[in-house]
Amino acid sequence: MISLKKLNLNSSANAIETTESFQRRQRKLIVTPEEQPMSFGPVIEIQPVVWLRSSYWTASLHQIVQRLISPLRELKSALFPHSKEK
Amino acid sequence: MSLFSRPLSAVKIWLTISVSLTLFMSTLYGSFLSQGGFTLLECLSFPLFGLLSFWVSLGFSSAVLGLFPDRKTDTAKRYLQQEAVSQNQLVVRKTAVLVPVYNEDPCAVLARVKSMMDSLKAAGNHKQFDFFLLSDTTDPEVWLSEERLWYELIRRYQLTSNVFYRRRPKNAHRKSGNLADFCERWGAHYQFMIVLDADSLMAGQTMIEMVLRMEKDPKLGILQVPPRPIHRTSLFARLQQFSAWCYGPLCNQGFSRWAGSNGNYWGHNAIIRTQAFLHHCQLPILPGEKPLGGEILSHDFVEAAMMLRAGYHVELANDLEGSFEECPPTLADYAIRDQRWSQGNLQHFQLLISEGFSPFSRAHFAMGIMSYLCSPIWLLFLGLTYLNTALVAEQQTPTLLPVALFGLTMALLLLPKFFALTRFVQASHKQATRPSAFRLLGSVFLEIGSSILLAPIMAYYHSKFVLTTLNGQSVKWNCQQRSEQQLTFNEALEQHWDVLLFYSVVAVLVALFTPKLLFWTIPLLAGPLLIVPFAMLLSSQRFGLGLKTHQILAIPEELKLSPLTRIYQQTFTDLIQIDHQATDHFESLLKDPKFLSLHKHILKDNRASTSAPTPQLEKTLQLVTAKQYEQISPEERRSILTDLNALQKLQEVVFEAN
Repeated sequence: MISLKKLNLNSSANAIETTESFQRRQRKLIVTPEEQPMSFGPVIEIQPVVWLRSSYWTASLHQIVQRLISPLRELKSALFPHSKEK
Repeated sequence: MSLFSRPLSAVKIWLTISVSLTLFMSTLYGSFLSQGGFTLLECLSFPLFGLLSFWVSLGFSSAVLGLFPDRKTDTAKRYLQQEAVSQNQLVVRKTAVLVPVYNEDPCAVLARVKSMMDSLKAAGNHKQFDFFLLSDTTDPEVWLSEERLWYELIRRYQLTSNVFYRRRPKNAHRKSGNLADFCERWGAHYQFMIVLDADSLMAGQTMIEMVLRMEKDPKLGILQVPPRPIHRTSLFARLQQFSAWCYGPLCNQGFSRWAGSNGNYWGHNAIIRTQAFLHHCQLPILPGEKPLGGEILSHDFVEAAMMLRAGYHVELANDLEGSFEECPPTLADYAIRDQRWSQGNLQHFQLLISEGFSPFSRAHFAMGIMSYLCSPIWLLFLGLTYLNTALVAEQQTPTLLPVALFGLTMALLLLPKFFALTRFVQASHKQATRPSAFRLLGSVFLEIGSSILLAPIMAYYHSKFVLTTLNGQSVKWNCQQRSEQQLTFNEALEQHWDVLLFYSVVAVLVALFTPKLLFWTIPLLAGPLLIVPFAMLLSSQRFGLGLKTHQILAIPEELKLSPLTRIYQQTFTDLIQIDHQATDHFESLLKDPKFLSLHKHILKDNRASTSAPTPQLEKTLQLVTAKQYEQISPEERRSILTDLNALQKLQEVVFEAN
């Protein structure tokens, strides 16, 4: 281990400061404060708005078809009450 | 104005004016087109015209809203109500001031830190503010310079606030990752964090006022103070500085009027409620591939949207001054920055159509996208119009309608500048530090002339950026150019040859196929065809400073040196002298035990110590033994600098050699 004193080569930037004062200062030098870990909250899910999803249109189309068919079904069951549904 | 007592009223007025103007202009355009019957090209150009008119009208009507005094907005009212109750009970809470840096000039960054600290001390609340220099620097020379100057700043100036230094070994997720790392490690210590950019400068009084406003309103998640560019001397930079100073307040007021508590965040010069940010603002990864998917590049808009989504307010403090930044010094630097922003904004399209965001956030996203997308739309519209004229021109009878439309569009673009000037002259007649009205008017005309020349150039660049992004090419997130230098002819030609080529082809095509439109095309072609001398002139500090001596394009900071600027300049001069004492910081580190000891101390504290690969260490040992420091590559230096044992070995080699 080489002591700092032995290796006190010329440094113009720190010329004014002695090695001892530098060492004293460095011991007190706080680079960063003490950590207090915290974590981020849950990440949000990126999903297109409902009406831009294909599933929305499929479901809507299904609903429309069901609405159109249901009166026909009722009519059919009224006309042919004994017929069996497949 | 009771008219604006509710934010929704302002939004309704803003949209009503915009839609009315769009309808009016579209009707005029439609009636012009209908004279000879609609062609296919005209049918295609009509919706583009409508979209462009709406975009121009939005800007105009926002400026109109900005004309009205800011007395009874919700924000102002809320502050007034709370003033009496809480003014005496207010405490300036512990606040972190974050300065993220990435290969920036450490002298300038730390000089700004010193200036802000002194300003806080003068304002009387310095002890509540801790500064964090959050380094993501990868250049080993800049890294060592940061460490040395950080230490010198603390040693020489007997600082009254804490300045901490943290460097990340890997700069994951760029700036947003840098800030997130701070939040996770030290965010719990601070109720608020003021986020700055490497070139930001803020007055102490402004920072204290920001903290007090956050303290007053517990629902306020982000408070953005509009930053104004200063300190530059090139003509291009002075044009930006002047327009931000002269037109900025009107634009910001208009924006603040319609957005109210549903405002936006611009990434720096803003204060954030730390806990709310941690709980609600974790950035999602966008679905899909780069460049439109993946990691979010422009995080600020998204963080604001997430804060609003969580029920917090995001506001623009357009009444606060003392918030500054620096702008790109040349046209090419400006374009490079715009390329990054362009991709970042286009990415927001996925969020624009995502669930859960407020309509205001969607408006901010849409406007961000449109600020880049309008350029290719505009060029496409012009292309269709010229093509249509070339094909069917003979069938059309001459009419004044196109001239009227052109005049109306120019009025919508230019009138806000004169609104701003009028308002500015009225509001600042008592201020000692402002140029005379005559010089102001001259400056406005010079700025307008330059803007007309620049508009088609930027339209080309924006179109290029949009197309390259949509083509799947990602941008590199490099450090911003902050030093000013005069461009030579060759440099200007090298930077802008593609603009010159594109518009030269356009000029030839117009002359050949639509010669009668050539006269009307001169404003479009003048800037691009003169781009080489124009870019040289814009980069000229000599010309910029020449105009400054005549108070043309002058801003108050140029007329009277503020304490903030004076301290910055003094400290910068001191630090640059220290920094220039070493030509090679790596060599200096190995030869100076105190510097090496400091570096090791920082490395241990930052827990950033790793082992350098053996071949790199052996090669470096050979080069250091042979005193061939210049042969050591940046990669080798970076590896060695994180290895405590390697540094020890190298130090011994240097000691033996001496």
